[in-house]
Amino acid sequence: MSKFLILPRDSDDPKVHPPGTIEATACEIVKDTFRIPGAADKLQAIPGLGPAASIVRLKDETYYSIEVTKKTLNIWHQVIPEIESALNDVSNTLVTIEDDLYRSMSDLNDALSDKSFSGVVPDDTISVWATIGESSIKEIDDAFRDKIKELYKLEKFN
Amino acid sequence: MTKYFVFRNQSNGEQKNVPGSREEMACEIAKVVSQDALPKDFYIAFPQENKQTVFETLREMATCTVEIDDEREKIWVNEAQSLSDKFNTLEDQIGEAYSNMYGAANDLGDALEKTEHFSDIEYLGPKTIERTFEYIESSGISQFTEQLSEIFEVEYFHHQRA
Repeated sequence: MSKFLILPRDSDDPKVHPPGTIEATACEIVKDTFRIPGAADKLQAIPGLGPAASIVRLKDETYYSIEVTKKTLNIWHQVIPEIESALNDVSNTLVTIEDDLYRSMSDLNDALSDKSFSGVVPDDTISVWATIGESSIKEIDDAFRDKIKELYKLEKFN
Repeated sequence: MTKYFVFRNQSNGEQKNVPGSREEMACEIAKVVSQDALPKDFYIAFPQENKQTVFETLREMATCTVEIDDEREKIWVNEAQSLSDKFNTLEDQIGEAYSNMYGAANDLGDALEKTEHFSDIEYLGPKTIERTFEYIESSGISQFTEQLSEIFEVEYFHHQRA
């Protein structure tokens, strides 16, 4: 098991973790889970024990801690992408559905707005349904990220 | 005003309504009011004035009657026909949306369930999808067909709806 502290890389620091290394992956996990903007190589991983880590802990700046094992690294590379892809598909499907139905319903509402059938009002529930759908997906996404935090013992400081 | 008797067309395609005729219109109205997906020429209509018809006999055999006069014809041509198409489009989209959402949610469920660490996350299961779609399933078409039925005084006989 390896423990790292993750913090922003100094802008003048030319050293980045080579892709695929445990340090680079640790930065990716922190970036994705905490939704940190920018590329993962804007972060650096330092060993969780040692003088550098002690200095980081003493500073009043934001940093993260993470624990990874060979097994959880494999989960990150092999299991989590499939779930993220499925979550994105659900989210994209929801957006497409909302757009299509909203357009048709607006079209229908316009056509119904006068003349003989003005009393007919289709249920204006697209937005209600979309809100429910979005909140459901957000709940799943939050639960998924909570699991990732638990799995990698992720913590945010300051 | 003319009353049209609408029958289930059992002529195996030998008899058809004249395109653009009020008979064809009566059949279209009957189809829309029934809310069933019926093929073209499923019904055939005859006006009550037709001397070959005997009202009581027709009443026993007909599916329904539809009243059409000049004013109602305009309502059908200028308003109801395109509204019916729009409702159908919306209904189709709702069905497709349900199917797509159900598929995407199932894929997510499969992806979660086969894992060791994420299998207990509650995802959008079939019941959730059904429940959320209940909000939009009623697109107002029933209200529309009720009003259409009132305007054209559609009267159904026996249990012969569709």
